[in-house]
Amino acid sequence: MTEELLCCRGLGKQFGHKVALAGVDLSLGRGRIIGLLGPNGSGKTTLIKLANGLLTPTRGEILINGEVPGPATKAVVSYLPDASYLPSWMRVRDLVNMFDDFYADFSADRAVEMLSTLEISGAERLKHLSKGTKEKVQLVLAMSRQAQLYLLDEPIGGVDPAARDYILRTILQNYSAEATVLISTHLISDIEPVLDEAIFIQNGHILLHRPVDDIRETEGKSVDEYFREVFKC
Amino acid sequence: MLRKLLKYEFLATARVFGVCYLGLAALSILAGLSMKFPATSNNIVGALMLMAYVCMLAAVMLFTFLTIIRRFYKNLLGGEGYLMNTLPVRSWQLVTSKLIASLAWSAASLVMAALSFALLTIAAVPTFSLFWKDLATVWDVLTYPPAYFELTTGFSFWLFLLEVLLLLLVDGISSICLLYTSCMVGHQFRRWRVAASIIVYFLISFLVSALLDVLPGNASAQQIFALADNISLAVNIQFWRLILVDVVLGSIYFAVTAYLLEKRLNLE
Amino acid sequence: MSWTFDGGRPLYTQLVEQLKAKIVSGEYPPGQRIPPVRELAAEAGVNPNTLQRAFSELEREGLLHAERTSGRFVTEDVSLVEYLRGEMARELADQYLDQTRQLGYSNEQAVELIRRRSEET
Repeated sequence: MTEELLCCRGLGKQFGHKVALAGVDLSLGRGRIIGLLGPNGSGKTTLIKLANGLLTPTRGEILINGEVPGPATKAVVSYLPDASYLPSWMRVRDLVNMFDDFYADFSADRAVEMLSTLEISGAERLKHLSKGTKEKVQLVLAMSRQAQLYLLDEPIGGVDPAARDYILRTILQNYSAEATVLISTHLISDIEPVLDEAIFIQNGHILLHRPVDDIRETEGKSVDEYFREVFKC
Repeated sequence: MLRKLLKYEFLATARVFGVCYLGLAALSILAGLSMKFPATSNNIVGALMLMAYVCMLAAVMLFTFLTIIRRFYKNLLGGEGYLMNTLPVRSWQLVTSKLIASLAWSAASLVMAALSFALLTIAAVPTFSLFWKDLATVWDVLTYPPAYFELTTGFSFWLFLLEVLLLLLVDGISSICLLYTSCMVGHQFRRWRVAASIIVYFLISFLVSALLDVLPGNASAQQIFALADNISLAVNIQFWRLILVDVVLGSIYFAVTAYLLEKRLNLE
Repeated sequence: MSWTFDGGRPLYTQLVEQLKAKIVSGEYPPGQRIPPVRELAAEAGVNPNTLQRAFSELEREGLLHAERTSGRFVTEDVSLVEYLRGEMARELADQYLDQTRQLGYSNEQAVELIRRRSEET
């Protein structure tokens, strides 16, 4: 197990003429909860998709545990996409079985427990669930894994405050010194107390990557306030 | 892993195909029955039902073809791609699972077509006693070709059948893989991906057929019959040439598909 | 559990303060077992590493001590807690005098105000 969980070296991604990521250098250690903070279109989702092997870099490289994204890294990365991505014809319990089938680190018991706490029936087909409930299902599946790297793309965006608390509590309860959680969001004030480090990203460039308490101490304001200051239009 | 992928692939498609096949079977029985009506020269209902059956048959074939494409395109390159491409599996396993399922459904549809025709025939038989007599005739008819075949052409019917089936199989594999390759190559474009896939498909098909024409060993039917004394060998060579071509093409298509899926994926 | 955080200061500092307040107020009485980091962090909604740092600081000051197998406990040293109580109260007093002085009160006026208010409540 390497010290550095995720490493980007000169990572660039272009879509035609549009530069989504411009020569990003980044290093994420283990046992941290890190916020990837930036406005819409800043490159957060692109970075996360690159880490999952869903996009191919235009230049540079991205490594997880020193390896290029592939089956070995996918086995230890738990991804929660921003969009709805599960086959809508499947029932909730079918999905739990599927994740159990493919991921060695998936705990079906844990998933069932979380689903019952959230009062989601296993027999329901995804297509009959509301958007918020679907998102909760997706979150439960992602958090029921004992992964090394959790990549959560806007996990608290579309849910109600109570669910938001539940999500953050789940992330904290899941915490382990070997694993790291990367949360990409623009709702900073909600997650700020939970973060070890913050990464500011804008127009495909990393503006800063510092411990949260560091920012508060040096700038004398919360990360949320500092963010607004840095990113003001 | 491959077995698990296959399991979910069949789970996703079984219900839809089941309904289709049931519908086809029902329609074939109805059509057969409706033909039993007083064998008047203008049995309109019977004729219409027969037409409906033929249409349904064509629809099932078309549906099978479209499903093969859709399962690949939608499940691997669409929204569900976020799930499939983050599973800890190799890309060749993803492609193989789709390929096997596609072949299975193709075969199933062909079998269903034959079965439905049999059902139609059985349903159309006027009376029951005649049915058994007809069955005997049918059996004679079916067993006649092998003997006739050997008599006229001088080589084994069963070998011939084997070669035909093998050719069907590898042809099926290479055709399906070509569809997949077209999808993956089209995926390399940023916009108009579907259009690009379609163009690529026809382009490759055209190029390949042009290439095969200039490939050595390509003999026309006349040339074959000219070698009258060793016609068996000539035909066999043709078969194995076609099989080999399909194996090579299929392998290339498969390799390109798996490579592009693993190294050149760009899901947006 | 009542945990409130304000934005401009490091969370770690605030956690140390609030934990001390809980010890002094008796919410965590002497000898009481403190929940493990992950559990308390989840409950309070804070980062576990930050909480761990706060715990380490309190251990360094002798207010908490960790038994390897049984967990983390508040100190049994009542005099230490008393001392801390005194320290915190002293700080409040200093703050009060400072603030009233800014309003224009003399120290005597400030003390008189306290005496009068304590009689009324």
